[in-house]
Amino acid sequence: MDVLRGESRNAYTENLSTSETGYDRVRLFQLILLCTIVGAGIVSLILLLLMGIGLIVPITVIGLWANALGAMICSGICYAIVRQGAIELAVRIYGVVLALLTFSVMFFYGGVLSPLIFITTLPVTVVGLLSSRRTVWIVGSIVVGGYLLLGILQSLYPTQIPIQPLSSGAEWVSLGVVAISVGIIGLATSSVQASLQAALQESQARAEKIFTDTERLLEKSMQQIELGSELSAAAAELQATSQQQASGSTEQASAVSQVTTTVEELGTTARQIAQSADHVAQAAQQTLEYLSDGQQAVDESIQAMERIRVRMQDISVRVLGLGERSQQIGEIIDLIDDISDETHLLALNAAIEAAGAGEHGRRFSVVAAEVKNLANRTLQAAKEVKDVIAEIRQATNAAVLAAEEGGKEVEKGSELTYRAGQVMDTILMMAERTAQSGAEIGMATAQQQSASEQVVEAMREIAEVARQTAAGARQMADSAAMLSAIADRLHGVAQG
Amino acid sequence: MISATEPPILANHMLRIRLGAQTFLAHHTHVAQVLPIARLRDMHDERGQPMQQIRLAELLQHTPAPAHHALLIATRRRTVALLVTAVDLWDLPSDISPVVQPLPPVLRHALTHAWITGILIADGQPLQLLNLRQIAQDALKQAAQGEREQRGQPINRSDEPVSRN
Repeated sequence: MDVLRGESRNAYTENLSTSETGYDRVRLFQLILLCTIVGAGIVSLILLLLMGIGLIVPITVIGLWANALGAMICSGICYAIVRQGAIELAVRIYGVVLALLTFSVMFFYGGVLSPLIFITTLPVTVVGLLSSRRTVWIVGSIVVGGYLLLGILQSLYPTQIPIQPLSSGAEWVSLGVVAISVGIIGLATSSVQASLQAALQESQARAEKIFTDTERLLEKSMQQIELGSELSAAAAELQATSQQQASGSTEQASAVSQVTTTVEELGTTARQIAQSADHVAQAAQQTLEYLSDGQQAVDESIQAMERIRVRMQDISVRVLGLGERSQQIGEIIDLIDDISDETHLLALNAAIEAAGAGEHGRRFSVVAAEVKNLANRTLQAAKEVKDVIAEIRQATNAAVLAAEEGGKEVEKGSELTYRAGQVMDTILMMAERTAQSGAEIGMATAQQQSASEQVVEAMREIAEVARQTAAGARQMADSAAMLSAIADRLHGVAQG
Repeated sequence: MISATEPPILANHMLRIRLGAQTFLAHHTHVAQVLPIARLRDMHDERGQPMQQIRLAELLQHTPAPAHHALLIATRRRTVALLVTAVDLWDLPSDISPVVQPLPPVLRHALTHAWITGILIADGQPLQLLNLRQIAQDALKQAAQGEREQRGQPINRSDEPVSRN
C-alpha cells in the first residue's frame, strides 16, 4: 500500500515538473519568436523607410547596421536561451541597443522631427510588451536621456558632432514632445503588457488551480487505492486473527474446563486437609490437657522431693545429734570404767590388807572380794555398754552417711524432677504451638476451600465467556471476510 | 626366801600378774599397794624422792608390754613401783588349792637372780611365782649403780646390775 502510494506520488511529481519545464520552454520560444519577428520587422522597416524617403545612404553602412542589429538580436536570444533566469536582462539589453540604434539613425539622417522619430517608440513598445513595468521605465529613461543628450551635444558642439543642430525652440519643444510621447507609449505598452501579464497570471493561476485540483484528486485517488489495499490486507489479517481467536477461545474453554476440574479436586483435597488439621488441633489440645496434668504432677513431685530433702536434712541432723549423745555416753562409760577400775584396785588393796591381817581380816577380805566382784561386774557392764555404744556410733555414722547419700540422691532427684518439669514446659509450649498451627492450618485450608470454590465459579464464568468469545470471533471472521470482499471491490474500482 | 626343802605352798590369796599376754604369780604380802599408773606422777617415797618405776615386762622378758597398774614394793629404805599390765587377786575357792612347787636346787642355783621361786600348773599351763621383793631390791641396786656411773664413781662389783643371765 505504501509502495503504491509512493509510486503514485513520484509519478505525480514528475508530471508536475514536466509541466513547469514545458511552460518555461513555451514562454522562451514565444520570446525568441517575438524578438526575431520584431527585429526582422525593424530592419525591414528601416530599410523601407530609408529607401522610401530617398536618402542617399551608403549600402555598406546599411548592411553594417543590419548586421550589427542581427548580431545583437541573436546574441540576446542566445543569452536568454543559455540563462533562462536572465531573460529580463536580455530584454533590457535588447531594448537599449535597439533604442540607441534607432536614435543614431534618426539623428544622423532625419533630425528631430523626422519620421524616424516614431521608430524610437518601437523598442520601448517591444520592451513594454515583453518585460515588466520596471524594465519599461529603465529602457524609456535611457531612450529619452540619450535622446536629450544627443540634442544637447548637437546644440553645444554643432561643428564637431555631425548632427543637425536644433535651430529653434520649436524643435526643442518637438524634442520634449517626442520624449513625453515615448514615455507615454512606454507606459501604455507597459500597461498593456501588465494587463496581458495579469491575464496570463490569472490564466496561469487557473491552470495551476486546475492542476492542483487534479493533483489533489489524483492524490485522493491514490489514497483511496492505498486505503483499499490496506483495508483488504487489514480485513485479511482481521479474518485470520478472528479465526485464530476463535480457535484460541475454543482451546481456552477446554483448558478452563480442565482447570475447573483440577481446582475442584484441589478444593476436595483442601477439605480433607482441613479435617486432618482439625484432628491434629484436637489431639494437640488433648496433649495440652495431659501435659497440664503431667506438669502439675511434676510440680507436686518437686515439692515432695523438696520436703524429702528437708526431712533428710532433719534426720541427718538428728542422727548427728544422736552420735554426739552416744559420744557423751561413751565418755560417761569411760568415767564409769575408770571408777570401776579404781574400785577394783581399791578392793584389791583391801583384800591384800585383809590377807595381811590374817584371820582378823577374813571378813574384811570377804567384803573386799564382794566389792571387787561388783567392780568387775561394773567393768564388764561398762565394757558391754561401750561395745553397744561403739555399735551405736558405727550405726550412727552409717546413718549419717546414709542420710548424706540420701540427701544427695534427693537433690539429684529434685534436679531430675526440675529438668523433667522444664522438659514438660518445653513440650507444653511445643504442644501449644502445634495446637495453634493446627488451628491456623484449619483456617487456612478452610479459606483455601472457599477460595477454590470461588475459583471454580470464576472459571466457569471464564469458560462461558470463552465460549461467547469463540462465537463472537467466528462472527468477526465472517464479517472480516465480507469486509475483505468489499475492500477488493473498492480496490478494483479505484484502480479502474 | 623359799627354800627347795620347804613344803609346797597353797596358791590361795596370791596375786595374778599379767605382763602382756603372759601371766605370773606373786605373794600378796610382797605388795604394799596397788595403784593406777596415773597416780604415780605426784607420789614420792619415804625419802622424798620420786618413786622408782620399773617396767616388769622389760625386766623379765626384755619385751615391752602395756602397763596400767603399779605394784608398790616396800624395801628397807625405799619403795619401788613395778609397772604391770594388770593385777588381780587370784581368789580361788577354798576347796581347790593348787600347790606351788618350789624350784629344784639345780635350777635355783643356775639362776643369776632368785626372782622365780616356784612353778604352779593351772589349767595345764605353768605359772611362775615371782619374788617381787627380790626384784625390787635388785632394781634399786641397778639404779644406784647407774647413778654412780653417771657421777664417775667406781663400780662396786658386789652391786652388779640385775640381769637374767
